[in-house]
Amino acid sequence: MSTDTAGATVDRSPSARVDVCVIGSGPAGALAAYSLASDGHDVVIIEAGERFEPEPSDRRHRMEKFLRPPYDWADVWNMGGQRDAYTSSGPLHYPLNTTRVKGVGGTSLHWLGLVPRLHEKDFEMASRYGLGVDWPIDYEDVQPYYATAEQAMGVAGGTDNPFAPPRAEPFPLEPFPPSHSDTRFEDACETLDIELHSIPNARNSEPYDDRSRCIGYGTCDPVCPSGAKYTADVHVRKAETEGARVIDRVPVQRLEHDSTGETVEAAVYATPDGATHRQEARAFVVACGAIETPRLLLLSTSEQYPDGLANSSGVVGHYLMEHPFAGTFAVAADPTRQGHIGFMTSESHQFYDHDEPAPGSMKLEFLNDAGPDPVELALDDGGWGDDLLTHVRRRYGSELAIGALVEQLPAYENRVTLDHDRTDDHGNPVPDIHWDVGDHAIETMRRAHDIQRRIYLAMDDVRITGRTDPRDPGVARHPMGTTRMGEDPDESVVNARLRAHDLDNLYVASSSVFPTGGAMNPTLTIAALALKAADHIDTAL
Amino acid sequence: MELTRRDAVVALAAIGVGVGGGGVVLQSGYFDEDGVDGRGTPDSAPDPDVDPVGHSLALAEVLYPAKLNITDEFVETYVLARSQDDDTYRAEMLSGLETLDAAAHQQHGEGYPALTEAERNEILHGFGLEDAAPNPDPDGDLRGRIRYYLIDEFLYALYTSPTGGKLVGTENPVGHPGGLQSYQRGSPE
Repeated sequence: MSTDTAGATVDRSPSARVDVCVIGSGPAGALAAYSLASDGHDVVIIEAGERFEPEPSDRRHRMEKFLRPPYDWADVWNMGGQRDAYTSSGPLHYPLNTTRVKGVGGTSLHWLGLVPRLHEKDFEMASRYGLGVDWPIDYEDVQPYYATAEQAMGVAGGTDNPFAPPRAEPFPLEPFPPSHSDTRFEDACETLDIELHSIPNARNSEPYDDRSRCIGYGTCDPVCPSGAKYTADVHVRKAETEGARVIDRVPVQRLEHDSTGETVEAAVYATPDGATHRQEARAFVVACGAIETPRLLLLSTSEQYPDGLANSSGVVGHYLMEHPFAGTFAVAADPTRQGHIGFMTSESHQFYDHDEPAPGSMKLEFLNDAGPDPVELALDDGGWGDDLLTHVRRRYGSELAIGALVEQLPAYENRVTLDHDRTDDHGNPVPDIHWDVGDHAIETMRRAHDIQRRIYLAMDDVRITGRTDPRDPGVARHPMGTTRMGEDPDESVVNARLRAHDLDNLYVASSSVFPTGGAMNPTLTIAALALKAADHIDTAL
Repeated sequence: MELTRRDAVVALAAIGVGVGGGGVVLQSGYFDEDGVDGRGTPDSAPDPDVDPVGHSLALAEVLYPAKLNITDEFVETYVLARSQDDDTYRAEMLSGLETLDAAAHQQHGEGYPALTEAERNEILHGFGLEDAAPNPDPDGDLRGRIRYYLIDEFLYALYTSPTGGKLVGTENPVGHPGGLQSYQRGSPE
C-alpha cells in the first residue's frame, strides 16, 4: 500500500501475473488496454503520472491556471520538476515538458485534437521518392484501424476534402462549420486555385459517448473544461469497466527479461514511498511516447542487452522526427473574430501529395486563435481601468495566422539518448534530446511561407507582420520515430506486428514506431497502430 | 453597460465555482473567523471596518472601465462565492483589502471606500501594483499577492466574461463557454 498526496491509502502493489501489462495511459496505452480487456484479457495499466479528476470543475480550475500569470502551460497538468528533468543537447532546443504530459490520459490531456489520417505516400517514401524508408505495412493495412479509432474517439469530419486518402466508413460526427476567418481565407484562396476543406477533429460537434458537445471555451490546448475534446482517460475508464486495473504514480524503472533474453518477465516500477515492485505479465506494451519509450528501453540494460532492451539494432532512440511549423502572421483592417474557439475548422491538404521528392509534404492550417487573447493582454499589461481597456482594444481582434506542418525526413543523428550526468527523482539518467531541422524540412517550410504570403496578398486590407524562421522553427509537439518499425532487425526495433524483433512478448504502441512522419498530426495513426498491436497480442496470447 | 449578478455567476461558472441555488446569502460573521491563514500575524483578527463586499466594490470601480456600471450584486456574488470556494482566496482577499484600507486611513484619514476614485487609484499606484505584473507571485511579497488575489482576480473575471469581451469586440472571449455560433459570425449579434 502507499499513500497519495491527499493522504488516502491506495493499493499500488502489483497484481498477480496478468496477461498484458500496458505501460503508459495516453491514447496508445488506453486504446490497447481497452481493446485487450474487451477481448477478455487480464490487463494492468501502469502510469508514471497521476490520475486527474475528470470533473469539469477541476478542468476549469486548470484552465484558469493556464490563462492567469504567473502560471504557464506546464503548470496546467503539473509537469516539470526533477521527475520530468531532461537535457536538450542538439543545435535547436527541444521543449520536452510542453510537449508531453504524464498522467492518466497522457499527452492527450493537453493536445489540440486534430486527427487527420496519413496519406498513402507516407508509407512509401523510399519507393516513391528515394527518401527515408518504407513502412513494413501500407495504408490499406492501417485503414480499418483508422476507422475504429475514429469511432472510438468520436471524430467530427466531412467528405469535402478532395485530397483525403481512401476511406470506407463515414465519420461518426458531422464536421464543424467553417469559421468567419475561414471564409475570408477561402475567398482569397479561390483566386489562387487553392482549395480549403474541413479537418477531422476528435471533438464533439454534437453530444457523443456521454460527453458534451463543444461549447467554445477556446482553450482546447492545454485543457478542455467541457470534455468535448477527446482525452484518453475516456478509454482508461472504459478499460476498467472491462476489468482492467490502473496503477498511477508508478514510473517504470526498467523491464526485466528471462535468462534466454527472449521474453520480458516483469516491469519494475516505483511507488511514491520509494519502494519498487515487479509487475509480471505474459506480454508487455510500452506506450510511453516517443521520448520515454526509447528511454525505458535504454534504461533496461542487461548482459544480453548492453545497449538497452530490444536494441540489438542499435537504433533505439535514433531517427527522432518532428513536424516543424511554418507560420505567417498578419493583421487586418477590421475584426477577424479570433479566439471564439481554440481549434481549426479548415485546412488545405492540396500541397500534401507531390510528384517530385522535394519540397516535401505540408499541411496548411488556417488558425482560429491568432494573436493574443483579451485576458492575456489585460493581465500582462500591469494597468487597469480605462487605460487598460484602450490597450486591450488596440491589441486584440485583428490578427490572422496561416500555419503549416511540414514533413521532416528521418535522420540517424536526431536522437534520444541518456544523459548520465543528470538524474531524475529516482536516480535514473534523464533523456537527452538532440534535434535539428534538416534541409528537406527547411525547403518545405520555405515553400509553405511562399504559399501563405500569396494568400495574404490576395486578401484586401491585410498586412503581413511576420513569419517563423525555417532554420529555427517551432515544433508541433509530435515526436516520432525512435523505435521504428521495419522488416530488417538490423535497421529497426519492431516488426510489422509492432513486436520487438529481439523479444517474443514485447510490443510498442507509440509514435515511436513510425518509420516516417508525414506532415499530419500523429494521434489518429498512434491510435490505429495501438489497436493493431492489440489485435496481434490477442492472437499471440 | 452593467455588470450584474448574472455576470458574476457566469464568470464563476467558467472558473468552476458554483453559486448556491436561490442566490448568495451574505452570511453574517462569515469573515469574522480567523481567516488570515497563517500569514503575518496568525493571532490578529480581521479588521471589523473592512466590509469585503463594500471594499471590493470600491476597488472594482477603479479597476474596471468607467463606462461599466458595477452592481452590488455582481461584487457580492462573485466575491462571496469565490471566498466560500477557496480558503486561501478568502484569506488573501481580506488581507489585501485590509492593507488598502490601512493605507487609506493613513493617507486620508478615511477608509478605502470613502475616498474618491482618483484617491483610490493613487493608493494602488502607491503600492507599485502596476509593476507586479506580468508575473505576480501568489506566494511572494505583499505587492505580488495583492496583485494576484485582488487586481488580477477582478480583471480575469471581467475579460473572460461576455460583458468584458464585448468591450473589446468579442461576445465569446477565451475562457468563456460561449457556444459554437459566435465563431461563424462576422460580428457580434
